[in-house]
Amino acid sequence: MNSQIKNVLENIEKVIIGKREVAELSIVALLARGHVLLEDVPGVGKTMMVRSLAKSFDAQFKRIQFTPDLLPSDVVGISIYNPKTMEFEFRPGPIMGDVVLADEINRTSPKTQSALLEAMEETSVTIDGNTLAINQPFFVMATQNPIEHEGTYPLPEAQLDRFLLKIKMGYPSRGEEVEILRRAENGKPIEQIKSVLSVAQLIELQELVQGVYVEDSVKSYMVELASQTREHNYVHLGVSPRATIALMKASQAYAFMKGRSYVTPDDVQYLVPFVFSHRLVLKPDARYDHVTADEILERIIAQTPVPTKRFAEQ
Amino acid sequence: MKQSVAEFLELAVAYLIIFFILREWLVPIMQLTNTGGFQFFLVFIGLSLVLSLLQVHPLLSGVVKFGYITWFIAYIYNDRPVLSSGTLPFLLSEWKWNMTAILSGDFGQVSDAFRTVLFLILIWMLIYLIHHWVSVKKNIFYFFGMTVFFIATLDTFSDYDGKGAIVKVVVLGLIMTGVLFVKRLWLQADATSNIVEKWKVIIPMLVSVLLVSTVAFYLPKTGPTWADPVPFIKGVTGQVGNGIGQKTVGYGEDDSQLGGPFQGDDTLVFTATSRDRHYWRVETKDTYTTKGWIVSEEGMNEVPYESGMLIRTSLQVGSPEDERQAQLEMDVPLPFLIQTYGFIGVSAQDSALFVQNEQTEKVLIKQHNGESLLLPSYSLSYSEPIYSMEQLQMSYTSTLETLDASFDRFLQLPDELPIRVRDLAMTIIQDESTVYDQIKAVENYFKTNGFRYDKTEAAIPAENQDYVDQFLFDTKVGYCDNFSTSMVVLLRSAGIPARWVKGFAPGQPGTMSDGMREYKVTNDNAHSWVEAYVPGAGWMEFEPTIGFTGNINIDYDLSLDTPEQQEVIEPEQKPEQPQQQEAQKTQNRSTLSLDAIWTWLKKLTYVWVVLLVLLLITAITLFFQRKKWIPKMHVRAYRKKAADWSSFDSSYHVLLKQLARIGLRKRDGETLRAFAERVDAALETDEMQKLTAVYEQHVYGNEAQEIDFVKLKESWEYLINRTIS
Repeated sequence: MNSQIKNVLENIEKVIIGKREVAELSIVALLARGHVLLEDVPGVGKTMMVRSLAKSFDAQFKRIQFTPDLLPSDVVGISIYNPKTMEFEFRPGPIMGDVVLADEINRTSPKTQSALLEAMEETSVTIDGNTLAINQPFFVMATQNPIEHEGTYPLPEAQLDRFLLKIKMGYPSRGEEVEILRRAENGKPIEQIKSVLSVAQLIELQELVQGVYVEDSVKSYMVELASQTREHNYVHLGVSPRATIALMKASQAYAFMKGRSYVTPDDVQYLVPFVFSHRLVLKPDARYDHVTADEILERIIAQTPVPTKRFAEQ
Repeated sequence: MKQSVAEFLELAVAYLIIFFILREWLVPIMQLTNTGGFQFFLVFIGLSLVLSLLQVHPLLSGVVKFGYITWFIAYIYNDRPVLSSGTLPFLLSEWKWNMTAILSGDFGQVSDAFRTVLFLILIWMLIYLIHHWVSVKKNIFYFFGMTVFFIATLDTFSDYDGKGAIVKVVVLGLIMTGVLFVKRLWLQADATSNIVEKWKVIIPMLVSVLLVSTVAFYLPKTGPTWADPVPFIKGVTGQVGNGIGQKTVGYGEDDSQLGGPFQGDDTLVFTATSRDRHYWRVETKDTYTTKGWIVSEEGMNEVPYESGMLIRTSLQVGSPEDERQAQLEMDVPLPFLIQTYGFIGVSAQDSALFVQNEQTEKVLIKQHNGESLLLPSYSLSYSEPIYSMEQLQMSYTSTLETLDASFDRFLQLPDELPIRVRDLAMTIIQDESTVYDQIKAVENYFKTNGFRYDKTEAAIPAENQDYVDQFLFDTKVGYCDNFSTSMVVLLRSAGIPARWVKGFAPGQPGTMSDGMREYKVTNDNAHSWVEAYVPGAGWMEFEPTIGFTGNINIDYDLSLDTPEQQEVIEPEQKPEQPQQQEAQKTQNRSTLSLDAIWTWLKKLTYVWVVLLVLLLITAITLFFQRKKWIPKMHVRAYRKKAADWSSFDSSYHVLLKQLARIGLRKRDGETLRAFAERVDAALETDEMQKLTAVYEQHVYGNEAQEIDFVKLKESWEYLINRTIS
């Protein structure tokens, strides 16, 4: 485990109890310069997770609460006429932060959703013909209530592709929940944590992640997994090459976090459900047979031979 | 304390069983080697077992055993009392003598006493091994299997009868194997030896073994389909063909057990030069035993003849004007005379004495001092009898009733002869009115009723089966002995006196010169046929064997009166002779080129069979033991290799394969790390994860690292060894 990241994780754990995996995956996405979609019911600590993460890096934290009447300009910012200077002045929206929590993203209109997603993809915003780059680190953690809930605009599949990982938060265990109560007695723990890593150090780490070695046999293993999803009986639309790239980047970040300079098939196998599951479009048959995307991926992983030799030796 | 007593008792019982199994080993050895002092050997086995059971200090136990051996030798091989002063010098001189013999490589000189010592030491070793099997390995199966194999082999190939022994050994061995298996189970489960629990497992096992053995013992058993494998094996391995004395090939002496396959042997026995084709007659036999032929009241009357004297036989002789000579050159000189039909006398160069047994009409060639003589050549004078058809047609069945008691032995049949044989005989002859026609009907019966001539498919009758009955009704395939014996028995069943004749078929005819023809007679020509008594005409030869043609001269003097009969009989006789010779010739030509190769192969088959069997056993053993020896080979191989990445890489894959062999196979979708965890959990180590971590780095990473290969090698060897144990 990388020691710097270990500090961050420990920092987060002071606030969030028993969500080590979510914290790790969030850091993976952050290191890979990707974004995370957190899907779960309200009140399980999504906001607290993002806030503690941002605080650990001493990063600027912004929060956008998505509502049906939210406009794109409320997200990206707006140019306002300044009578003093007789010019239009750009007022950056909350998207221009380092760590952005896009809360309940599926409650807003598709127009506003796409403004957010475009900014995430391009790492820039365009207002009145002016394109403004968003500074790194730029990390969006969008949350979404499960789709069954009323009054929501589900994100289209193509848009979901923009998220590196989709994570489910889940309820804490009973013991964990007791611990949560115990901590809640003594005021807000989020106030007590301090930053352990500077933004500059984070960017440095992001650069190091890109240097994590991916052996060709592991690359071809990733490709094999991706193409298996495209050939699967239950899958209407398999994952895109963008997803394969995402898998590689996430694997690199994960390997780095684990303190390794190379990616192993274990990393890949671990990450596949988080990277692929929200990108699969299943056939109706799958739903009739009560097969979920995660189950399909599990089967694909079990069937696909893991490389045990270097690519050149195979 | 209670437990250890129970364990001791258990072991004691095991040793008792071992004692009885070992006794079954000893019995045949004693019996076959004609060794006395069985009880002394038993005492030695008992002594060794008790010493081993009591776990006496090896030194003390060695002294005791050695003392016993010394006493044994002194007691058995020295005439004087053991405690007398002569014992020590006796032992010393024995020692000196045998050491000299051994050191000079003269193993034939080793004395019986020393052999006994070696044998006792062998038993000593064996008991040590058994002790190891019973108390350490807790697996007696090899010993058990070897015992069964040993007894079965001796039972098959020697005079020893292992019927009772094999039952005892199997029952004891199964019980022993079962008990030891339970013990092993207990040990594996790490259970405390609760006697009650143990007996709950052992008792059902005991009951089932005893039940199965009892049922098996009392079940009816069919006779062996392969009653005696020895002749077959000898045939296959090419240990045949020295002619005389062989049971199934060439001219044999003992015909009390007929049947079984036989192998051809074309060793030339003699060459005859004669004007006529002859059936070469040697002897007759008169008593059928349901299994073969013996001679009644052997050696009843022997009559000596000088060379050139007229030798009387019971056979007809032709007119003196037709007297002719046949010259016999013996390639394998035989101690008996080869006779022709119409035999008058013999002239030989040496002053030999010809002793005829009146019973069998076998003529032994002897010197005047009574010793056997092997003549290289002699000349036979003969005059072939010509039977008158008219006379033959007069042989009405009523004439048989007038025959005197001297013919009784030619009507002998065993009491056990199945009734259906007699019924068949009556069916065959029922339409014929004369004895001659009846005989011909029996002779022809074989030609038309689905009988086949084959040397190798001939069966051996089972213990309670009749040789003739088996051939006539069951197998219908065989060679001359089957046909001739069956014909004799059928004739006797029909009340016609008949006897079984042995000798040689006419042989391979050569070119004619001066009216004389050469006949080459080989061991393959050894033959048997039938002589039957036709009232009025006397003893006549008949040939029931398919593919052979008889040699009777019949004067069809009835031609004018009954033309049909001439037509019927004549084609049967003469035209067939050239045909058969023709057939023999073509056969010879076609096999000639292969002959050499075949003979060569036959000689080698013995070696081949043994080699093949050994190879097969080795291969099978190696295959089933591969879990054990392959890793050992690898360990040895990798010890020599340099400690670097490439050897580590291949050694890791070797390990994966070995793990797969013991059932820990890496699944397709399983990563190395997950697999390593599984392996370590199964083998209760953490070495596999250590190795895998390094290997992962090597395979998936791109930076060379400082690795302690020596330590890796240790881990690797440890894992490999874990998979073996």
